[in-house]
Amino acid sequence: MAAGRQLSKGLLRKLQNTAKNILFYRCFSNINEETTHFGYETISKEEKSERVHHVFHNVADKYDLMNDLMSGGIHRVWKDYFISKIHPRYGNKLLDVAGGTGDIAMRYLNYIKYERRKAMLPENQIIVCDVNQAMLHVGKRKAEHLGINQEISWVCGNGEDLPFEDNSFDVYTIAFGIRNFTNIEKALDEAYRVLAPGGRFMCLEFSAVTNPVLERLYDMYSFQVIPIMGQIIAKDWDSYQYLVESIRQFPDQDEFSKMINDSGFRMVNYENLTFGIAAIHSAFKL
Amino acid sequence: MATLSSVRISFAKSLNLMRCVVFGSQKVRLCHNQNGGQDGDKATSGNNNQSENTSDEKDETTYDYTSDEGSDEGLDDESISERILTAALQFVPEYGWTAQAIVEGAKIEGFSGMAEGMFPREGGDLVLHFINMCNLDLGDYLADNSRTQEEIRKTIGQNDFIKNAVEVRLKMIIPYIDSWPQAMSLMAYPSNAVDAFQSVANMTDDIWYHSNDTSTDISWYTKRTSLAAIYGVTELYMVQDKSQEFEDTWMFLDRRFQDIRNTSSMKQCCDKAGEDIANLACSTLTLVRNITGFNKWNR
Repeated sequence: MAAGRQLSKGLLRKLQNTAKNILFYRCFSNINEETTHFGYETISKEEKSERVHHVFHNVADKYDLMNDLMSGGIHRVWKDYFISKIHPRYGNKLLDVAGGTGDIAMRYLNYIKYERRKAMLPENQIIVCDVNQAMLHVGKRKAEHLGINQEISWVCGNGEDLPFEDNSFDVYTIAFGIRNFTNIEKALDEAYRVLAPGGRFMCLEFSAVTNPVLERLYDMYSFQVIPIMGQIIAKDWDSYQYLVESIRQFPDQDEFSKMINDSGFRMVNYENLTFGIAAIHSAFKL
Repeated sequence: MATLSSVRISFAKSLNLMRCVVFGSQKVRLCHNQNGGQDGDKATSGNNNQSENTSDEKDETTYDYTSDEGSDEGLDDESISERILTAALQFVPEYGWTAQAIVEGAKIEGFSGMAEGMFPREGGDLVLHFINMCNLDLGDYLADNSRTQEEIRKTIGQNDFIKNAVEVRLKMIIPYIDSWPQAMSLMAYPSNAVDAFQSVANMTDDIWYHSNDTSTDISWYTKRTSLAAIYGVTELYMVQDKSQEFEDTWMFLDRRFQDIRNTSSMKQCCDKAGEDIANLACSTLTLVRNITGFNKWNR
């Protein structure tokens, strides 16, 4: 009898434990589902997109100047190299997501300038899509200034829910943008959806520095210099604090390659630029 | 004692390494041959039929994306790139060995022209693909021949068998002869040269293998290098040949094989002459010693 009672007691305890575990995990997973990181802060997902929107709204006017200052102009070299890796060709449709200020689209246009036979590209050949109207305005203004506004279409849309049909683009580019998405997997799935078979996914993004000594220097520069620069020039400390923190939160080269693979892309590879400060990820939809 | 045993261990290790290298490479070659069979089939049948497509899909489902690095280069990716390159070959006469030909090939296969980016060496990749395809076809041809014409080969002799093989291989580039100089220059690029060298080595090895070559000494190397040299110069001659059906080229090839025969007979002559000269020198020395009296036993 005594043994039986002990057994039932043990069973009861076990049941209680599992109930506790289930409760705990459910709570825990709830936390995981609804929150994400904004720099080093943990916030809810809705808040993140709002705050990212706010950041880029604030910095839009000074965006290009700050890029030049922070990177010492190297971002131009990276972007030029990025375009040369794409092998732009007349007749391929480009979708540049999160490309508000048009850096990539204009370089792309410049690259195929010598190849095109007509004076004008067919419509909707180069589309810039950005969720932030303020950034798009900056890009449009730049294009108007250069007289190429007719050849680039500007669309305001979310990269996680692109307003385009399936299989409609030959190349999808995203330069220094995917880091700011609330749901990176969703953005990658959308990229896969809008690309035609054989289409190429190209991503230029900050990544993990491979050299430990340089990493220390880079961290020091990022955390001690960039926010101050942001405060002085763009009058916005927090946005640039977010910038450097979000770079650290972004998955490293291999992890991101795996994420791209998981979205269904094939032949994924990456190339480090300047010791991995930035990296180009390339993949194909086959 | 300790040093002795360590020496023994390191010796054993190096032996193991050598074995790995030898057998490893053999395994690679076996795989290469197996692939070759499939490729040859595809090349001859032209389009992939439905059953092949379904097998491709099966591969895709079993293919594990979560595995480590290198998983990107799955079998299926490779077959897709091969399909694109094979389709691109029909555009070579129009666009040459260029990225544009690959773009057109990708479009024919139902892919966006952007798929051309899968081939970072552009035209070089296209040429290498063509060369490998030809080599595999040649391998199939030689394998068939060595089986069915065993007797004939015995009668025509090894030299003619090899000459025939080189001729068959050279005839494969006739459809692309106008743009072949461009292909040859592409193969001389540092980025392609290693692979190009390897494919030539594979080809010469295949030819010698099917001609029943069993040498295991230094001549294994000399045979393959001399064949590669003959193939190379004949190819060069061929791209400048304007004669009817490349008659001059085949005569040129004949003369090169005659040269080889001459050299080997000359080598034999030289060997013989060398021995004679040594004998002559010895006897001359003896004669001189005799004359001068150095050879006297009671001196």
